[in-house]
Amino acid sequence: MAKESFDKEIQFLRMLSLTSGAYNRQQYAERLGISVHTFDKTQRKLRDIRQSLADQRTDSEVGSEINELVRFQYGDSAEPLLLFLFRAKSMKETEVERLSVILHTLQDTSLTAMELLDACCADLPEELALPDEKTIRSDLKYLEEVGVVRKEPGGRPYRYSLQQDVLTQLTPEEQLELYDFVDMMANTQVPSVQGYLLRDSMKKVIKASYPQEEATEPYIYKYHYYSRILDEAHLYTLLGAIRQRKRVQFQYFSPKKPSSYSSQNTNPKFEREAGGSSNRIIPIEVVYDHQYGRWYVIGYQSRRRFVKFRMEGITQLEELHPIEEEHMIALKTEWADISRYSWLVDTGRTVTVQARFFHPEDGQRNFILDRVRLQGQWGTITPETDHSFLYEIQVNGTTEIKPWLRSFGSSCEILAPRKLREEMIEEWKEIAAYYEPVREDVQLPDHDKNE
Amino acid sequence: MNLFEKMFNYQIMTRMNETGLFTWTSQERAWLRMMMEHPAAQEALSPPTLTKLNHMLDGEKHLNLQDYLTEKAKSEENSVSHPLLRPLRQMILNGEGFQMTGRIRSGRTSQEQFGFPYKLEYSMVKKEWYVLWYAPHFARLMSTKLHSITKLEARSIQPEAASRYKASIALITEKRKTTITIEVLPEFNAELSRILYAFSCFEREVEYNEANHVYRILLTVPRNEIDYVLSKMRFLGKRVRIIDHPALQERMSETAAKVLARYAQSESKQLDHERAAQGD
Repeated sequence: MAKESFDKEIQFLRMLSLTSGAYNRQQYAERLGISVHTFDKTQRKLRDIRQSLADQRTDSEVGSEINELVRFQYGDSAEPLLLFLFRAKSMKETEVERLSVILHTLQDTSLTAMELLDACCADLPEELALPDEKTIRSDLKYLEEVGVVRKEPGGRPYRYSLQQDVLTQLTPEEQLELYDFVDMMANTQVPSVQGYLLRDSMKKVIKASYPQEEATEPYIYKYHYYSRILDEAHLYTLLGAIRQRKRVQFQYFSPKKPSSYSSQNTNPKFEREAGGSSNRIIPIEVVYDHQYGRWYVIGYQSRRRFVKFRMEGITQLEELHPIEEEHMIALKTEWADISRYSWLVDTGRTVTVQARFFHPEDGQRNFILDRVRLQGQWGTITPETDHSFLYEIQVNGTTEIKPWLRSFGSSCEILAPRKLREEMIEEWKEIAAYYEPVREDVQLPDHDKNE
Repeated sequence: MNLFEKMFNYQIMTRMNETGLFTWTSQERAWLRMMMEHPAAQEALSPPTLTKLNHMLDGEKHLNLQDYLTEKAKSEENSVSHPLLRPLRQMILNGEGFQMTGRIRSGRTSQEQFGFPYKLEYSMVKKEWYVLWYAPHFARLMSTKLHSITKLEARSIQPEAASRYKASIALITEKRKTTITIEVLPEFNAELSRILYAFSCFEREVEYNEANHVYRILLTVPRNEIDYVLSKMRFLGKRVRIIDHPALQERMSETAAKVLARYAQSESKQLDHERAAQGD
């Protein structure tokens, strides 16, 4: 059986969360390259998942509007909005029942496969067919593989027990400490999906000792790019391929094109012209861009040399045969060299950018200097006058650093290259024109902030 | 490693949640092990917890992602954790207030202020922790950087007072929200994905007018976050414009004028230099 693919769900959730409410069903379906019927089906499936996981105490019903599926409100919790995607794996009802009986039976005691078989026969609902020994053994094998249960030391017949060190070895205070740590790390580091899954499971442990509402949601993070976790779906396949030096192939839908997914028709007779382009690459590296919360994969193709793909455009990802180790090492070294000065992933010509930054007006904390220090990557800072400092950096091309420099507004003046300076002046002229004329005498409300 | 595991399936999860049964997979433990190597682990976890966890995770797989995964444009992290997080977290958990002394913007210190903490907020941009608290004497919401707190003591308060404070917090939070409509200039629709990504961190709705291909992004943000929205606007430059908020339009217009004046001034200085050089 082909491996279950979640490409459609990923594209669906991404489009929904980015364009919240912009399109109707028809328009969404069109842009996703699927029929309205498939759109509705996908939406129903995801809504069911979301609904069944909703915490009765804090979540209300998931509304029926399309965009309510992924609507979020900042400030209440650090709940990762799109995590439910990773709970979409299909399972048969009988398997769900069986695994949950096995896990619950193992809660307080370690048991053998035969003892578990008896427990299943006793506890499973009557309408379900009773499992045989083989099935129970393969269930145990699966649970052992994913690390949920472990074999007790000692000979046959093996006894199995639940991996519950968190409960048995940590005090409630320590569990709370761990929960906080997981929350913090899942929210501030990448990758984060496993951390979020663990946070989810830890929550019920915490609630047992600390029933207060404040126990599980004391932290909030501003701001997250919510859809970043969707790309982690491909992350481990790609990282695994890089580690094993395997080529990969995939269908790529450029985020600039209007369509982002195309249904894979199993019947060749009905095969439409598939959207996207077919690509084979030797994957070299995965890059996470903190500026936008986007993932890239860098690959090598003999014809086009080093190529960059946004992870969000990748569908139908498959591993192929491996390449020689020497070849891989050579490619990695070459890429490290080429990308040394990439602000993000640009491999354009290396130029030196010089800019003058101006300190804020009197009496204010120097947040400009702080920000350049924090975000200026490998650039160097040199004090200049009482009210300015110089910043210099070598970068591959100016496209990627430009928005960052522009975001400083009048606190930044580009000195070199000349072309970048001129582009910046031109752009600010255009922006000035957008707001011409604006009303005068407008008062901004007070900031209620205390630092 | 597969993130779409049967163990993560929603039906399994619902069953486990119903009875409160805790399970975890080796994937989650491998992730945790990787995070334990981060310097934040030493700060966030007490020595006994740290020792127990390290022992517990000893046999788990090493993920070693740093060899294949590169992070770009990341702000330098000086503190993922902070020593005051734990006491403040306890106060929030116990519904307590505090008495706080700290440095304020102008360099002075604020003495022994009484407050009721309700959230701990991490700024992904500034890489700093803040405590969000309510100042009952002024009926205002405050936000204080943990780094600038010099003294902090818990104060017990009556449960009735705490619920009154909570009600005020909810009310003020709602009241200080404002909306801003941003239009994407249609000639930049090809960059829509990038633009939507940049705003995807805010509460928002998107509207699309099929007749003229115009996208509008309706942001809902607290008033004290307006500066951050403006920095996003400058970041995206000519691709977007604010269409309904005169105060913010004015700010953008002012910035543009200032930038252009800055360049004009330095150009004319440059010209003077060149003239002087020619005169020699």
